[in-house]
Amino acid sequence: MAFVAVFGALGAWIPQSALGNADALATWQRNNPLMARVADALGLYAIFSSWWFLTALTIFAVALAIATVRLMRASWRTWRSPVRVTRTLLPGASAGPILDRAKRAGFRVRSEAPGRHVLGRHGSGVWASSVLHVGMLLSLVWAALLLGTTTGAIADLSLGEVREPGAEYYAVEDPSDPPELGMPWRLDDIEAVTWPSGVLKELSARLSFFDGNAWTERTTSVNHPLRIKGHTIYTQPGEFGDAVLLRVIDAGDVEHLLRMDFYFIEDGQPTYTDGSYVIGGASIEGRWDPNGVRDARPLGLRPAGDGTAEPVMLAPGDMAEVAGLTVEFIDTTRWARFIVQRSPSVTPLFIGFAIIGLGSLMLYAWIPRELVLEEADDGVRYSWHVARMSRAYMSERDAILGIASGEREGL
Amino acid sequence: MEQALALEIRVHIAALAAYAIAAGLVLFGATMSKPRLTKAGHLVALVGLGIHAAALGLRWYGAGHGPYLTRYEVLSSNAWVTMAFVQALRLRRRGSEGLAVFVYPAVLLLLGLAVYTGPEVKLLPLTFRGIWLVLHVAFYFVAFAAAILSLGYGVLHLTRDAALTSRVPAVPDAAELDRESYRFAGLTFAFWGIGMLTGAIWAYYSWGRFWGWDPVETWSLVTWFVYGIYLHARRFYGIRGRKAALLLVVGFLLAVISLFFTSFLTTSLHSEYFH
Ligand code: HEM
Repeated sequence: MAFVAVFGALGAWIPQSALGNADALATWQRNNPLMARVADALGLYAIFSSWWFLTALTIFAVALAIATVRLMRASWRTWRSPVRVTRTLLPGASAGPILDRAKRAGFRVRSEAPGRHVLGRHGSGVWASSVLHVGMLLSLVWAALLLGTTTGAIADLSLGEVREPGAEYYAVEDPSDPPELGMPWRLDDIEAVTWPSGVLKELSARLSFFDGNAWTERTTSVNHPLRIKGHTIYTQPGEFGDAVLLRVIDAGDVEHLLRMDFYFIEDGQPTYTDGSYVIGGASIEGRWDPNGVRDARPLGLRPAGDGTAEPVMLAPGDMAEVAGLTVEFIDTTRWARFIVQRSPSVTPLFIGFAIIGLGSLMLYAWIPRELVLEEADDGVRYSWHVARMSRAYMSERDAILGIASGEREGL
Repeated sequence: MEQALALEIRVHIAALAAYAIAAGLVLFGATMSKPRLTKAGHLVALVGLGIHAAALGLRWYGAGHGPYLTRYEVLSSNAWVTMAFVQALRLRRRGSEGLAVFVYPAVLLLLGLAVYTGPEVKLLPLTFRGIWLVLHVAFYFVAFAAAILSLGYGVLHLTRDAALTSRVPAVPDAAELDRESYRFAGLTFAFWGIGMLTGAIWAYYSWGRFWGWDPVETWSLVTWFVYGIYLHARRFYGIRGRKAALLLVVGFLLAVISLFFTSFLTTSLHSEYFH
């Protein structure tokens, strides 16, 4: 009775908190579409900022924690509960055939004393909701931790380029606290495999890390990020391509070295710089045509923003005047973009997920049943316990006991 | 490959036709109280399931990846899993036959929509590979099929005394309908949850985020919660019967929104491919 009362009372406020949360989520999502877009675009997460959202989440977590503890206590009690008394008499029956049928139905003997048998099936199912809620609690706590502490940045590297600790990133999520491996690392190679149609099939990058003594090579590829020293390094499909190295002499005779990046284009058509490059007061943009679609010379340069200007075409080694700059095309290379994230390990979260999965399958696949048999002079006494959805198992009970369906246990 | 795809659409349409006939026979048989028609309908549905399997197989071979990428593939797979479920149920357990009146038209609708969206083939994008994605979609397929069945039982429960349903032979009693819808809602909850979590794992490995509150994820979470609330409500408030069935209708609507509408929102990472 107390058991029912406790859980009844608990239930009176629990689903509300769950409901409130569901609504809160939907509202959040309606009110902040912009946020969602920004977070999406960057692949970063500046969410979890509104106080009420956090409060709702915290209340939810606390409620969940309390419930989980109670659930585990309840499961423990059920698990250890003393064997029940038998109530119903089956006149004239004998235990042997019933035991056989039960065993054939998958029941196992839990305990046996002369004249008394306890059989059960899926006994561990009493832990199902405990397991489920433990998993949710673990996942929730760890997800909050991850979302609260992960910080990311974007690094662009060309082949052979070494990224020294503290060097600037292409973009940083939190400029006051950028992720930093604390050791030099280098892009050694980019491997892109395409389908016959030119569409990207596989993409991976070989990186080397210098630990003070030696360089160690590691690989990061799409769907298989690289985890190193508390950081995760991702490649993204499409976030790489050819690059050209230029020597530029500006109007003031100052020399600059410039790397101009182009994105990989799946159909082999010419590709354009993403924005313009500003050097010595002038600004230029480029077109890259490695397959010679437009011109045998692959690189086209023109003053930025001037859509009408015919590009000046260059092959490696060529030199030309563009927008008042003297530009020499030194070499081609390749570049790739990496997301660098500092975060605690994600493993506990995924363990939490696995526990949720296990718990929710247990809830519906492992319904604990128990059959107690006691031999009496005039037949067999039995009792039958089912933790959940008991009516669904009446026919199983009847089949095992060998009684006609529909007869009630009298409970 | 090309030939397989050309054949595939025709086989799909054959399956669609079989489902249409099956749905028609079952509905007609029920309303006219002609059990032989109903029986024939079940048989045609079973044959349709086989044809449909062949269509999906051809698609798999022709497209070079499992049928889970485009809307066409997803809807068709959903339809197939649901039909497979209901056939398995029907053959194994008596009393589940009445469900066909509800589920056959639903499957017909799903496959009809699939064919309507058109069989354009897309290459599997780079991030869409790996075991987590496959688990992710597979669990959602099962979850959605279970949601349809649980809704089916719920609707039968709600309409038990209505003219049409009362004529369907072998509709179980109200308590059993209620229990079955509960059982399948539980299954939906479990598989939906796992589908969502494997999706999060996939997102983590692909994009460096396991959760980003994108609309697909958020609606999916809300849906899961509603199924959770349903289960809590049954347990704690003893909500049964009509009220429970109505709550299931809400859950199902959310499931449909999550699976088929949220990906139209531009902010969704999923939107790129699930159109
Ligand atoms: C504040 C949060 C929560 C509390 C206090 C809570 C509490 C409980 C309790 C006491 C039970 C009864 C278990 C038993 O007696 O075997 C239960 C069952 C369950 N809970 Fe929760 N829970 C919470 C959140 C959730 C959430 C977020 C979900 C999933 C969306 C969930 C899903 C379930 C399910 C599926 C069951 C099993 C119901 C059944 O027996 O069919 N719970 N919960």
